[in-house]
Amino acid sequence: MTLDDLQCWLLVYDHSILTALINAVTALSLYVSLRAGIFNLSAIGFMAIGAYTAGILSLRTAAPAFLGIAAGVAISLLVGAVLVYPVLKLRGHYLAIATLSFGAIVQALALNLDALTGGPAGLIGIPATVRVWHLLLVLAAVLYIVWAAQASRTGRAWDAIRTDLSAARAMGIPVEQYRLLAFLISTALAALAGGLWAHVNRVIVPFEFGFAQLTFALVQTLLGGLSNPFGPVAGAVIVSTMPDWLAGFDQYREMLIGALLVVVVIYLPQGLATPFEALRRRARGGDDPGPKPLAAAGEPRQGQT
Amino acid sequence: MLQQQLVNGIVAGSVYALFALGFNLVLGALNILNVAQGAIFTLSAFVAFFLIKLFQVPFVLALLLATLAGGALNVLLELVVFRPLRARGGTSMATLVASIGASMVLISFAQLISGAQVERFPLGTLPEVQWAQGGVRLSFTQALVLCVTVLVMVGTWLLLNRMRLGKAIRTMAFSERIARMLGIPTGAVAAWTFFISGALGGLAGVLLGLMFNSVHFLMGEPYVLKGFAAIVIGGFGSVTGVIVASMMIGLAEVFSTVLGIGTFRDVVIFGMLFLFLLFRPNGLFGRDEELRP
Repeated sequence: MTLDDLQCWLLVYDHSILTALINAVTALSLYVSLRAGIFNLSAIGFMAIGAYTAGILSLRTAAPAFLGIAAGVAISLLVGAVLVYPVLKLRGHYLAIATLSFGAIVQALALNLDALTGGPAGLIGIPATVRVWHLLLVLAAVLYIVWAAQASRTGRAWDAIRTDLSAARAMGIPVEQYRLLAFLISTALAALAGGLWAHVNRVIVPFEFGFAQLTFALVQTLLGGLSNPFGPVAGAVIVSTMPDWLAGFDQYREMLIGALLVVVVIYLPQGLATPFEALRRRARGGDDPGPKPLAAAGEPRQGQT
Repeated sequence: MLQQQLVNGIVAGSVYALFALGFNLVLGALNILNVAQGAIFTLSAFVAFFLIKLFQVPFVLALLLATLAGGALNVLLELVVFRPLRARGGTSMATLVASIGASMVLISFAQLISGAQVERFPLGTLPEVQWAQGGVRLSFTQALVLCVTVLVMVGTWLLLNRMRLGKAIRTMAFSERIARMLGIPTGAVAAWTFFISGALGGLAGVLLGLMFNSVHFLMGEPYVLKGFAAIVIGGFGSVTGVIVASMMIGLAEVFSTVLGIGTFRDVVIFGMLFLFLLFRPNGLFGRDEELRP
């Protein structure tokens, strides 16, 4: 392949690459929450806040993109800081329902605050100033932060909390602090992804921040698996580029993604890493499956009654 | 005027109650939050629509068949998705994620068969009867919804308190392990629970489709979220609670329109849900969640 070919290829697939990189940030947002055992489904809501803030700022004040994106992250963190106290007190299904309905509230507001958000038609004409190399830098930075966090004491605390919240607390781990940290990192990443999204797509409409989007984010995160942060990134790249390498994907998009999610959850609990994990376990000789990837802190575990 | 709105609110609440009762049954008995219930709601409405439109089936029969179809579909989900997941020791969060995926598959199937069109029942599907009494009007569909809801409530109560299956379901709700120790065929009971739950969801879907004379592939989505609200406000696992909460949601919807904030009625309802989660997470009639084994 010559340099020209490469250039041509990059041009053709520019939008897929941009989408994949942004989705990788979203997937990492979900990853951080899930790793800490917080079944937080609010990512799409915060993504919407980030996207709308960036979009409105850039349309109304012609502020540079990075300023609008930063403002989106700041506002999301403020909202998240208010939301986090009630939400983290909840367990299991309650937490999922609360965060899911937070997303529904954001979507309802985006649909109905016409003066601010443009209602169902959304915001049109946001300058598309974000380039692939910007996103590569952002993703590298995010990946580094998440990697460093999960490979440190923090990550071990998250694993402990996910496995058994009460035991972690009894060991002297400041559970609430670590959960707070995970929730806020997750919030900031989702808002960041939203802001970038606004400056890539030129258009944001409320319908993009719904159930379908959440399903996509979940597939990407879980396909990659939770064992390390490269998993969700790989998952995001695989799923986001599917329209390019899977013929007929666009027609049956939702159906395929939904089915993939079901299959991954049932048969690949560690994502694509499942076969390798199994091999490693066999090599180690033990048959301890380790902590469940999709456990929610504070829920009674199976067989523990 | 006020009484009319009250009636409208109760009718709207009845549909929520039917839907949320099914939700609640599976949640209580098996600790599964089945998001796909919304898709079953939608698909049952489509089954009724196609039966009436293509085969000119009388609406009573169509209602019955669509309800059965909803139940059968939910059993299919249990067999294909939830049972294998349980056998592999999936957590309740894994079940929730799987149900989100299953829901997506079913909804896009509905989109495929309808071509994303809003469908309407042919004229004269339902008798155009109306009763008026002191300024309050009740259409035939509204009366039908109310009657069906009352019947279903009585039926659910009888099932849970008077029948062997109901006792088995309640034992499973207490602890699946103990149920198995007592020799209860937990697999069969789970399948029946899913059937009843799906049938209730399907019934709600058909009734809603008839009420607004519109069937489309996204009609179930708001019901999932409001079903969540109903079970949280009512208290997980409480039948009375769910019914009261559904009525509250129906009335809140109608009255926020009366107050002129109709566009924000979803915000009102989810705000209510949030307040409950904050100050009374066990809902109006719920048991203490910590006590669940």
